[in-house]
Amino acid sequence: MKSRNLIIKIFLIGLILVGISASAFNLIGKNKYKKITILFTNDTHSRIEPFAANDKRLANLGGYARRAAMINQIRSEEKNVLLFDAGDVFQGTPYFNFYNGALEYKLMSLMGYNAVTIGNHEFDDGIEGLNKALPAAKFDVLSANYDFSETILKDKIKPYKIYTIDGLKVGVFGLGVALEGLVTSINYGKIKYNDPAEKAAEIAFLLKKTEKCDLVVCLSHLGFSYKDKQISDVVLAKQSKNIDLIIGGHTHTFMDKPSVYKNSDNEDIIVAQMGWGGTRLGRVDFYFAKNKLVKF
Amino acid sequence: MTNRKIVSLLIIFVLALSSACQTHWVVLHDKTESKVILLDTVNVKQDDAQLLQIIKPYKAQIDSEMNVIIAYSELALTKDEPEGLLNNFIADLCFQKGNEYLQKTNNLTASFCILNSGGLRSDLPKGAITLGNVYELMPFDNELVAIQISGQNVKKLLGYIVKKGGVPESGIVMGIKADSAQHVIIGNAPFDLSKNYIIITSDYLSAGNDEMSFFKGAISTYPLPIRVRDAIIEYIKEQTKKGITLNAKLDKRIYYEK
Repeated sequence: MKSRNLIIKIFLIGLILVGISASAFNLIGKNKYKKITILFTNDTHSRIEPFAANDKRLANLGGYARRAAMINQIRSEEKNVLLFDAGDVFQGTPYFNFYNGALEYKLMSLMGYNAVTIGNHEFDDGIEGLNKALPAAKFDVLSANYDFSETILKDKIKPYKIYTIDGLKVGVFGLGVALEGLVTSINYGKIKYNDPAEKAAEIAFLLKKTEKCDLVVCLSHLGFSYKDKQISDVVLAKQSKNIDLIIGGHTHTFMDKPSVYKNSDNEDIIVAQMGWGGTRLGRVDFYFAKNKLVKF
Repeated sequence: MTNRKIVSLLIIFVLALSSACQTHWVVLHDKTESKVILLDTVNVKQDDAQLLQIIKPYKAQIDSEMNVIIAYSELALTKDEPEGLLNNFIADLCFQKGNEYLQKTNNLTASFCILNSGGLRSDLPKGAITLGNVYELMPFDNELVAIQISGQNVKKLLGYIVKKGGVPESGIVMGIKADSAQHVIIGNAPFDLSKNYIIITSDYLSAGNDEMSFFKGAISTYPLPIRVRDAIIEYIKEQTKKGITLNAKLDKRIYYEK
């Protein structure tokens, strides 16, 4: 009986102290929130200039210089900005036929892109084509499920990268679509395609749990969703853990607003895609707070 | 338990609590804001001057070669399913051009042409058509090819058309009913399962890409000495030379049956 009383006492005193510390945190709390703004594009397809005025669907939209102006404006308003692309930067206008992707990467470097992943059209001039354009990219090119170890791209493409911004760690990794049947086999050569869902689970765990990232972002060129069961952003989102945002591409999906799904831990995960041609810029603002007591 | 023990337990408890609080940040998912920013002239009044300056010389070179008007179109040619104006226009001209080259190189004639919807990358506008428009429609360097396959494989090809809800093709007229091909006419005759067929397509597709696995068991393949894009350019220029403006029709080559 005596020891039980003691436990109750300890518990009560503990609760009071917890209450005091909680209110103390709330007092500091006003300036203890942090914010990260994530901007992104996908399937920009060499649309250096805006679409022509006589384009049936996308007239006068997009263009690299316009995107840059919007990004600069947001950077002037927000402290913590990260900028990503989900692949298929290459192919679609004569700019690619003439300059083979180097101009796209050069301009994206000037816009301050942090990372991109690799779309299937990045191989339209073969592995050699991508290798030639890469020196113009002053950002990270990420792919976790393409194994380049037997190609000239070995060591040039990383599976993931951690960006530290305002004391927050943001882990980012890339996923590519199955190449067989999509890209002519001589163009992808000895790249080994690994299961994207398995790699995503492995890398996301590494980033969130081992590396203790505050946010995990997946750059995916898998496609938004399909009629059949093949892997897509929506399929991945629902079965995933440890990912907060999937920036998608490949299916050229126009959505009114990024969608929110529940992952396998019943936590929110956002899936977004910005159509194609650089006509839209995606934006997600994440807010962070110091760990709350409910975590105990 | 002594008082000292109680105190030390409390200290450990509070320390554990405060250290956890200080080292960890959590995403407030309910506070997350997300949106789509349209990159139009309303949201962006002025394009970035530095990038415009860098793009300028590249643009000048491209404009000088690509802004050449090669034809006029009576209407905007857009992609659609089960058939579309652009689908029909491109498939018809690839069928015609492919057969011209196949005649010259092998003295053979193909029965139909099939392409993939994903391969048509952009629409053609109404009015002036520039060389640049054709590059945007067909940016790839794929070449035309003629390929001979068995009737059994053509049956799979018809199933593929059904599964895709229609693809750009020329030479086949078919209905779709309850997920199967109906009343299939190839050329002027009903589809014959026992016959081999020669088909015009691109080398990308004849390799079995985009799920066209029915090409993998080909009887023979005849590479044609022209890129798909150049076939389009050649055809369009010929029309212009004859004083013909571009046009296309929907003709129910692929239709849904009740």
